[in-house]
Amino acid sequence: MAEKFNSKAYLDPVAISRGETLGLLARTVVEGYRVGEHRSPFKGFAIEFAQHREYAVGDDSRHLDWKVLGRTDRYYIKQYEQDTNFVAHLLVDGSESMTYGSGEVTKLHYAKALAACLAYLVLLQRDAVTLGIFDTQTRLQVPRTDNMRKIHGIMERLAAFEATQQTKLGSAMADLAHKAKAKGIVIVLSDLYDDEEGFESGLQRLRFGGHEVIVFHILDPDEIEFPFKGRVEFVGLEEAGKLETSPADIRKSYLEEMNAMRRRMRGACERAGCHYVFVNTAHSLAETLGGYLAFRHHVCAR
Amino acid sequence: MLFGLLAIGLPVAIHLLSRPQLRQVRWAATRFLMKSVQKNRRRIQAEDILLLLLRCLLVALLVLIFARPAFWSGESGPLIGRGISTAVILLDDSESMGQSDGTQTRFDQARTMIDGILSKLAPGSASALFLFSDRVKPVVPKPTRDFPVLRGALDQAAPTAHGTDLYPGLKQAVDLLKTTTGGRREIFVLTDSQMTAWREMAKIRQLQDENRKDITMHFIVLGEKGEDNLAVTDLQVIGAVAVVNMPLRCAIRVSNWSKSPVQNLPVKLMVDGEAPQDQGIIDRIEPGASKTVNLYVRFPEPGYHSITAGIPGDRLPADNQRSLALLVLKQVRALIVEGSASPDPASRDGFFLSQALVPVPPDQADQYFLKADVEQADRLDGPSLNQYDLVFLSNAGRLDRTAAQNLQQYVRDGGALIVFPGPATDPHFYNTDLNLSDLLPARLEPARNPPAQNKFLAWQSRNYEHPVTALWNDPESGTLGTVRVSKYFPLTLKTGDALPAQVVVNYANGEPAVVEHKVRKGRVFLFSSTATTEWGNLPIDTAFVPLLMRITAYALNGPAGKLNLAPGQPFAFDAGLGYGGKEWSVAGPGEKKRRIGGSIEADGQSAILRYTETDQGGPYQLFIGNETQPRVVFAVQPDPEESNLAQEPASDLAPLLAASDAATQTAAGAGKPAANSRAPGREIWYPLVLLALLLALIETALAHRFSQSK
Repeated sequence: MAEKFNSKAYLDPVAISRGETLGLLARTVVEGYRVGEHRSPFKGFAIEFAQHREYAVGDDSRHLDWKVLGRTDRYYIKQYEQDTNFVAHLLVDGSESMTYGSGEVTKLHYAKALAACLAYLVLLQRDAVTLGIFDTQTRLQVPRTDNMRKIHGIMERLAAFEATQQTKLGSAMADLAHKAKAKGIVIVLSDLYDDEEGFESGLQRLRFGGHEVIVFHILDPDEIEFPFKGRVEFVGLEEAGKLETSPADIRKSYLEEMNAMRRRMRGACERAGCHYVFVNTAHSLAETLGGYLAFRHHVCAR
Repeated sequence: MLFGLLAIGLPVAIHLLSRPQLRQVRWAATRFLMKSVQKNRRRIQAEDILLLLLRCLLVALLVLIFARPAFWSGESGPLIGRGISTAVILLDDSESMGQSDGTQTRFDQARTMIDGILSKLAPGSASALFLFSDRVKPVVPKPTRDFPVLRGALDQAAPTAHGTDLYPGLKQAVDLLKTTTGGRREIFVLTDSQMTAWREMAKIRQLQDENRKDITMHFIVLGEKGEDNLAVTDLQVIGAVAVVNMPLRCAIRVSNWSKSPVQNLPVKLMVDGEAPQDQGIIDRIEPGASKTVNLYVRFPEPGYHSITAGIPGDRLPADNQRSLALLVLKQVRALIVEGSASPDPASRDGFFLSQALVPVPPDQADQYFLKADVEQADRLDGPSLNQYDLVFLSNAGRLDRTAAQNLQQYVRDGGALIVFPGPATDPHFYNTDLNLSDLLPARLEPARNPPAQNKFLAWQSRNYEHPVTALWNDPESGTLGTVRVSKYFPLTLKTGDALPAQVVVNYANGEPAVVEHKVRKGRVFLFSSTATTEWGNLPIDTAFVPLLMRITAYALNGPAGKLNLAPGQPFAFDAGLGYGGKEWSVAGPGEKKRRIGGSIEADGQSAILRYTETDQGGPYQLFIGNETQPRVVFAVQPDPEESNLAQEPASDLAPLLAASDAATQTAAGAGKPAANSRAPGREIWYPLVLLALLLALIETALAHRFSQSK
């Protein structure tokens, strides 16, 4: 389904406004290439004291703790925690299943808007962002950037993308884990209609690579509530074939299956230490993003 | 009706027809749908099949309910669906069906039984309804499934005054059923089995044998046995001509069809339904015998009247009274035209006629109702004929043209002409004259003597068929067989006329002695011999005076014609041209209020009032417009044989009933099916309705339950 929204429509002012206030903080340590506001795994000589260690040959004598030397006559070096910036890797599911939408907004459009807002917020706090849209493979790749002026380019490329293929989320995540050397935040935006084992494997690989992973599970209200009546012929968007049935006859069973899938996905995320965010496209972007960022702010502040 | 079972296909058809309304959705999460469908397929199919079966069963039940299924009762046990049948119900509506058992008449019993038969006929059956007596009246002429209509017609039916003859009705029913196809064909005959009903037993047996394979006949006999009955079986006027203020003698015959003699039976005679004018007592009537009593009435006013003879009531009220209608005259004027003149009064051609017409001493002649003038034939050319009610021609010779024309016009205007030929009569002239040949009912052949071996030729001595001579069928009234002629004109009856000639009396050898016919409004009697003793003894026979009186009365009935009818005979009355198109009303037997009958039909020459609903016995009064007095009165007289309620012996009917799958019913057992009856039994639609309701509830509950999200 061709997206009918222009690139600027992806930035939701309300969502951005809330996001600016809350910010997107790194929940775990991240590896940046310049000083920022996020904790770095590297400890060095900065503002915030971290620990002492014994002086070794070659250490800069400027970091000697003279007070300790005066009291104990021992040579200790003062170490400080280093803050850094992070790279947010935005992985948007561009498969055909994402083109479903009961209203004007499809899941893909919602994911693109969410990705655009997140990219804007990340760039706003001078962190870096990369964007990848994938289906069976990565279709669109925006290289790492921390330049706010690139946001328009990102949105234009998002808008230009059209979904046609099936999903292989696991391989896309594994590919990212392989390419992203530095630990960052990987944000997955997908309906997760994919091989569940591959998805969990991808999560594990990203986590093993030290990335923090946030999964936005995006579903349409029709998929959540299955409100159809009468006789309906369902035509598969990714999977071939048709199915004629009376939705009322299978609604309960379908919802059980759907909820079980959601539970399994949440479980996989929790087992991998990832955030699982369930997104109903019926809810506004601001509500979804604001709610999650507030939750994250609260968690990171502890 | 069971064709409705095809409607079972409705749920399937609805399912198929609703398929085009399928909605298509492009869907992402098909994998969950597949799983759900696979998981629920068997259950959904089972639910669908269960609902389809329930709906089909519901439709089938509804069809079955409308078809009104019933159990079949009988030795073979209850069976459903013995197939529809086409029936003809033949109901005896003769007079005897009015016989009551004290609470219910035979006709009412039959009605109840027919109601039972209709309710027990297999659903989808059709039935016609014929009323039969000595005529067949198809009140529901074609088999109908609309039983309420049939029951409505049955409610309107009532016993009539008709006699009974079963065969014509049975034949008509068989002919009707032969035109029908499919299903069983049955005839239900409900009769009181009077002996007269089976008068054509051989034909009935033959009819039954010929149609045994195709048509089942059920004979249902009402009334256990012929019951006792007393009846007025005859009422006749002996005095012949009814005249104002003159006593009129009437003979009333009462028959006793009981098993015991009747004693001191009062008999009353009434005029126009008023209080009895005369009453007599019959001291004793033996079982099976009849007795006649003579009573007198007087009429204060001229015109049409009815006299009614009555006896005390019994269980068949219809024959406890018998009525007779007659025209009461104020005065009768007769003209006797002689062919020849003789100085000796006793030798004159009109002597005996004038004596017979005024049979009273000369000093009482002025008070006598009939005035007779005697004239010569040459006086007929005057315009004075219209003042006479009767004109007698006695031994008249050739008439001149004017006289013949006057006579013709006189008769056409309603006059009565009685012709006695004689030696002076020229048969050739009478047969060829344009005016006279039109008047005479027969050709006059040349006069001749009886065959050589017989010196005289006598009149017939019994079996008189004409109303004028029917009186002499009763031996107590004497006989006409004593009238003898030595010479006569053989009469050859005219044929082809609209109103054919009737023989009043024959000679013993079968040749007509007296004939008559109607000419427009008038009537002409033609004798074959003289009114004098020259060729015969008629003028001096004891029957001469009553014969002339009866001819006078019959001829003077005027435009009304026949006033006393058999049941079902139509009545016609010439009301006069001035009344054409006027409304008339009728008050039938026992009716105190008049009811509108119709309009008088006029065709330019006459205005005829016709009445055809003469099934009930008794007097009928016809009124024109708002007149308070009836314009004409006529009477319907029931068949006297109907009063004999004796039934055909069961032994005589046994072969017929055995061969006809008969259900013999008695009055006591009316309404209950006979042991060997195959009549359909109790209907079972009520439990089916309950079952259908239960099924509908189950279907609704299941459909609601199945439609919940699963």
